[in-house]
Amino acid sequence: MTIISAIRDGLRRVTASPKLILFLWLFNFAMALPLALVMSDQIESSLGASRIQEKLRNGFDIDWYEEFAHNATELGKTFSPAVIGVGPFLGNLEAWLNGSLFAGNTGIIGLGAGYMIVWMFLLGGILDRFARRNEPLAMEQFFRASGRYVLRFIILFLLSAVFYFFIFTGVAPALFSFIADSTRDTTVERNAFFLVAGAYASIALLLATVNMAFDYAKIATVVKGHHNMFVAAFDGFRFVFAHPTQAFGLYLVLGIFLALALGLYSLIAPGAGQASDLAIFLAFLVGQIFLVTKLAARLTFFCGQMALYETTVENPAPALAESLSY
Amino acid sequence: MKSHRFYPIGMIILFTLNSGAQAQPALSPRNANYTIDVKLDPQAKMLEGREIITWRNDRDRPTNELRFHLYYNAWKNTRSTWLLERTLAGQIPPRRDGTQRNLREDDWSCVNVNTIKILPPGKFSETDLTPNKKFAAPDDGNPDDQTVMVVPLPQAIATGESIQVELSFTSKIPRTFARTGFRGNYFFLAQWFPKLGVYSDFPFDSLKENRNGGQWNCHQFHAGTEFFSDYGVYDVKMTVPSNYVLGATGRLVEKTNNPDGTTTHRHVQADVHDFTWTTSPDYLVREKRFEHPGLPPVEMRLLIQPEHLSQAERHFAATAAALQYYGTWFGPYPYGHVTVVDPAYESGAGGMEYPTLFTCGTRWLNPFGGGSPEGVTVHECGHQFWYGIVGNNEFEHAWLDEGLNTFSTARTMEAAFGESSWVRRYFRGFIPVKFDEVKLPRMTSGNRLQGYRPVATSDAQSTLTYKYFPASGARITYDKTALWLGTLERYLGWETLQKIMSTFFERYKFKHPTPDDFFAVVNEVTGKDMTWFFDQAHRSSEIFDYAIQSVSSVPASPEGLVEMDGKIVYAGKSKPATNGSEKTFRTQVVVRRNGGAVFPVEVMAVFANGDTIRENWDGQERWKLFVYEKPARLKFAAVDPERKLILDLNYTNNSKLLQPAATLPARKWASKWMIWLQDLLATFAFFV
Repeated sequence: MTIISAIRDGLRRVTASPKLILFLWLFNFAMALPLALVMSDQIESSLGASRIQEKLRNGFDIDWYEEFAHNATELGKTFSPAVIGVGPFLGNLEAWLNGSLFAGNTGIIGLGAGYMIVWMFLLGGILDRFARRNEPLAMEQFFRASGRYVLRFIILFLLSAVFYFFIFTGVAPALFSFIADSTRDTTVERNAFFLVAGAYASIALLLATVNMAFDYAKIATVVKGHHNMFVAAFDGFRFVFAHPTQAFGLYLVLGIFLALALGLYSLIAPGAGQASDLAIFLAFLVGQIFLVTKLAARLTFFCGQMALYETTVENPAPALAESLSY
Repeated sequence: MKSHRFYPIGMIILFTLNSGAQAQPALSPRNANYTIDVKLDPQAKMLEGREIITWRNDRDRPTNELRFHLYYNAWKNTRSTWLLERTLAGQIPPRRDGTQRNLREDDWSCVNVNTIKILPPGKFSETDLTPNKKFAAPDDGNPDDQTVMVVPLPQAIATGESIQVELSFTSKIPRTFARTGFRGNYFFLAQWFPKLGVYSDFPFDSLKENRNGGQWNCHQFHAGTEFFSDYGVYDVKMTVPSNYVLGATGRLVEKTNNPDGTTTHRHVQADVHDFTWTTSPDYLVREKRFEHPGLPPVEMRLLIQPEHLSQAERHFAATAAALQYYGTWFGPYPYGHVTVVDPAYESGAGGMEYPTLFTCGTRWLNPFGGGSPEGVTVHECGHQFWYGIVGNNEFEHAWLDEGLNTFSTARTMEAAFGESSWVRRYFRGFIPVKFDEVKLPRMTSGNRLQGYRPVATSDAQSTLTYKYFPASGARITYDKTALWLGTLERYLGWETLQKIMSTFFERYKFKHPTPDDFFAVVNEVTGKDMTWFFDQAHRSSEIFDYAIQSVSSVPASPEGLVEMDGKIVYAGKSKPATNGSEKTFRTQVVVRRNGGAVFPVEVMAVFANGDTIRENWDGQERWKLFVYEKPARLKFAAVDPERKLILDLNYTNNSKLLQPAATLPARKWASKWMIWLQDLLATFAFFV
């Protein structure tokens, strides 16, 4: 199967499940909303009855922000002018590559951990759903599948965490330390930049490899019905290294698509100037559309991976039978 | 055989110098003159030098010793005062990404004075003083610090007498510390030679403890301080590999190619108090002439890294802006030439001033409008005026140059380039993103309120600079001064402040002014005693914070039992005590002084019908009630509405709307933050 046909297959499966996308977006939205309300309260409390609110309604005020940041709670300190435009997405991409997602605000790390646990639960249902491409989405069946796979996926997560931990605490520091050593006498920033870019690319490649392998491990668990997660993880790595062109090619296509989407978003991303409820809502909506696009791309990628994987499985029926046996 | 190559400009200068640079009308006292011959060994990272210092005692009392700064010994080992203080500040050594690096052998430096002897003429015969030299630690008594060398003399040098001493020295160049050092084949050599302290006939401040070593003002090198020296003529020969480009204080007057593949560059400069040079084979050289009506022309020589060549015009524009605005506002730049150095990547020499030469680091990717490299260029060029020409003691009162210059930088940046925008750099600082909608106002961001806020109570500014807490001293030095100058600009008006600064400049150029000199000029120019202001802004660490504590605006008619038409009647909400006359509202505004410092402020009340009342309050009491009866309700009240008091740490509380509507902007910004959080959560999900 070619990468293009895998993507086509993936798109077909994803577009056949709009409710699933909506559900997952709602889940993401609902998880973020409480802290957003807390942040809103903190900003409102900081503004009080001050006339500065007029400046913030029409744009941004760096003086207020610096005062706010100085007095802010731990959560409040995560707010910055970089929430405008593409700033949030660049910041998160940087945090992803640096592994600093897990070194920030404890409340947000806690929320992120909770999000990961729920996502582990939902993934079983998501993959089960996509494996049975022609069937309508039944919520009961979705959650049964989620429950069925959650423990296995937790084990897979713990296995993958060993790899991620090694990448962030072993490989990445070693790489950057190597760069620091090898550029000790470098007088040209551009040279250092390319080395750092290379290091980031290497880290991204490692992350992608582990991510892919464990994606395929989950897919194998659903499609083949693995119960031993060590076997599933091995299966995942075996698949990636047995089909490197397709596996990495598909990942590359996803990366390119997300980069293009971010580029497009940078052109239309709302700035700081919304001064009415409607304008704020529309700006928020544009951001949500971009988030849904990213989510759909991720799911398409999952489905593409599944389509690729299924071509190597002679008889995926046992797994489906397992899920249908409820 | 040496081949000599004279440059046309060099010929003219040399002719001038041969007729005697010292014979020219002196701009400064020229009592500390240096003739140095130094050779760089780029492989060994060593300097071999010989210097002859001619020093004249122009103070009112004799001295029987000489004191020298040996700055390179600050990085000899971890027991030096400089490194102990940096450790205290948690900055050993600072890196751009905030991490600490492990120090290796080539990081360290030292300077060894091999010989020191007195040379005739004068009343001294040739005398070897080498055995007599010793180290002193006048500031902290640290026996391991070797940044001050004391050399007792066989006879005292009386007022008006001169002495000539010759020193030979060897310096191991550090991997860059405090802007001096090497990186690869790039060398930036500042504070590299044994340099005399300043002999004074009066204490530089009121603290007797500062009279260290009798009258020698020769401090140890501290983590938070810079330098202080007398003016003189520097005649320096620097020998480097022939393929190296060299830039230095002063003008090139002679260039000699040597048979060993090296070239000796001779630079001469009069009326400066330091000499710095840089060399690297990678520099590209660009030149441009600054011209502006009413100001003397200046030859600008830019030594730029090849990867930054596209930013050359930005460096020139910023240098020209500094020369123009500082020259117009304070006084002309007198030297006729300036060397602008773009230092090598991560060389730690990002922005620093030296006489007729300064560094202004930039990045490979640097969006226009983000304030860099223009800001650092204006700032360091501005130091030619505040530090170079007005030579205050940076060990003790660094705010006199750094603070005045930070304020002047912000003003120049605004005048020349407009408001800058906020920039965030991603991916270890390599990728900048400029947020055009987030503007950095000159008065607050330019004068660095954000830097001052967290350290506001750390030290009174009048504390001697080297005694500031190392981690916060810079903010008190740079930011607080700029903020109180901004406050004075708005309180007195720019015309008056400009006159203060230009008077101070004119009166103290090529001299060593003290804080009291500056304050005296302020009082003289304003015709007012501004001591009350400096007692708070300079001599205390109290903070300024005025606030509107509360506002209310209710119908003025009383409720309860009131007299009406000679009867006592009950008046309530549904039955107001009016006789059908115009309805009025009683407005109360409570203004509070939250900070310990006092400043006269304006209080403004704006009413729904557009009426505006402005009142002055001396700001002395902790709070004051303002009451108005007007035919309309209050719209808002504000204290210091024009934001004259830039030092006010909390401006959000300076105003209050009667009917706040903060929900909408709070939701707006929280909704943007929520998009970040949603994406962050999705990023977490990647790992599942």
